[in-house]
Amino acid sequence: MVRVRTRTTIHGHEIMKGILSYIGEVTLFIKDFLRALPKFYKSFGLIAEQIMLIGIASLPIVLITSFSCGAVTAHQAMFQGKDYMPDIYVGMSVIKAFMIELGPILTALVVGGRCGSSITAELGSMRITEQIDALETLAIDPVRYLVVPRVVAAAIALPLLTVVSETIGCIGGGVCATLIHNVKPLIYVEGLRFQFMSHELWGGLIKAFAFGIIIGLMGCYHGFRATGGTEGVGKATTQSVVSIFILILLSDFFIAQIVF
Amino acid sequence: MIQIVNLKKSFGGKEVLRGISLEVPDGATTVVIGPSGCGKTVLLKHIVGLMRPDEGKVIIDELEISSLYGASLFKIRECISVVFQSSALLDSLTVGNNITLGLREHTKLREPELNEIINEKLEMVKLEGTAELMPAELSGGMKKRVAIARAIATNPKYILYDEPTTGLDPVTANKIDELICALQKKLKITAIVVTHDLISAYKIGDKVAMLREGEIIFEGTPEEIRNCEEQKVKEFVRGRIYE
Ligand SMILES: Nc1ncnc2c1ncn2[C@@H]1O[C@H](COP(=O)(O)OP(=O)(O)OP(=O)(O)O)[C@@H](O)[C@H]1O
Ligand SMILES: [Mg+2]
Repeated sequence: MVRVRTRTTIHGHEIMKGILSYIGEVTLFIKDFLRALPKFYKSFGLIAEQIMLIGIASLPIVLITSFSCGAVTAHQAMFQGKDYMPDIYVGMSVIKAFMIELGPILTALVVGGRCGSSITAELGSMRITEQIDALETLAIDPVRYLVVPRVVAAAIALPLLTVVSETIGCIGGGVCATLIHNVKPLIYVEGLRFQFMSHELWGGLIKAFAFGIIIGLMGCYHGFRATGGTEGVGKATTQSVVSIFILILLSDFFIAQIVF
Repeated sequence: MIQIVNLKKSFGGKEVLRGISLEVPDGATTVVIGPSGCGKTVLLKHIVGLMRPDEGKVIIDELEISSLYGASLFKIRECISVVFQSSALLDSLTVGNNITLGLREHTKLREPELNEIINEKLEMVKLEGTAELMPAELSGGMKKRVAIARAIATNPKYILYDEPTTGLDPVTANKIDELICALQKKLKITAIVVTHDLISAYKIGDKVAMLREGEIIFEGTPEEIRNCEEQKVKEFVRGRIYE
């Protein structure tokens, strides 16, 4: 009994230590990033390339998930409010759900899973094959050369993808509402405009911007600290995606508190 | 001049370098030999400030690199080039862009001038016409030579080679030795070559130091090390015969 207890306390202690040193390391990494950030103008080419990689490549999967998610939202709204909710509220439910929550979160999770992991895998292999060391010896700051373009690109691409997601979500909702639930198209569109509040749109986009920074930073951080060969890169990639998802969901809550 | 003074480094209780002191004369090639795992790569990484010593220091041109950070560290690195054991070419860039990576960063040279430098350096390492290839399309020996081309592209004062001939066939290894000698004669670069390939050490070294169990156990000319009667040196130099 006593033994079990001591063992668990040691465990708790170590976990706390692990979490604190993780936070410390991430903070130092953010510090390096902020120091290199003002020189982003040196890497416009790299940033454009990364926006293409993150933005364009994620487009198909964002389109598919948003469309079906919009359709499901409309379906649920119709189902829950059957018989007593006027049809005009379907459009309103879909657009509000997408602007405030679904658009940014859906996009961030999809892009986080897809691009966060690929950023970590790429930088992780660069780390273990000494390519990052090579950059350093060429007197090129690897944070400026590798991290800044990825974070800036993700911070730009995420809001853009979110706008796309919100648009497609509304279309998906419209298709479902008009074709399956016989809502008149004009009523659905009227619903989209009814009670539209621009601060909800901006709030969602601010979230998307923050999620972009989280994806870029955490993807790069885990790649940079990968050790122990190809197995280490695999581990870093898993950790990266898990931490990106957790941080996105946590920060979603806090940003919502501040913005709305 | 590069001076290493009483350098010590441990990894998690395992002492890798136990107080190394070495002077690297300017304009010559110093070879550090030693068995695999004796800490040669670790030593090189300390010289360019990729690792920090637990104790002791590395002094380059009167500056203590082991205590420099940020901009001043990058400044001194501009005059040092490293050829990594694994070549470490950036695999997202073509051979040509790898070679000019440092120049694009630190100079305002334009495309035509950069292309001229690429061709010149590729000619020096006998790899003409490969500028547009990706590193993945090259063999190990070719990668090594591109890494050398990248290292000399910035006209460094010092160049550090980490096992330039290991894992290559004798013919290619020979070519690389000759290349290092030729570059040294032509460009008067101060070189440190870390290797366990004795044949190439004798051929290219002006000075040879032997690293073993984290200490320098011998320093001298190639001739001297060949005739050394010290047991530990003999073991390594004459191989299994004396085991
Ligand atoms: N980052 C590190 N963390 C922990 N141990 C390390 C690290 N780097 C090197 N070592 C240890 O230091 C020792 C020396 O490594 P090093 O790479 O310098 O050997 P080497 O002399 O270059 O060998 P080789 O000829 O095989 O390249 C090894 O035993 C290795 O386990
Ligand atoms: Mg080595």
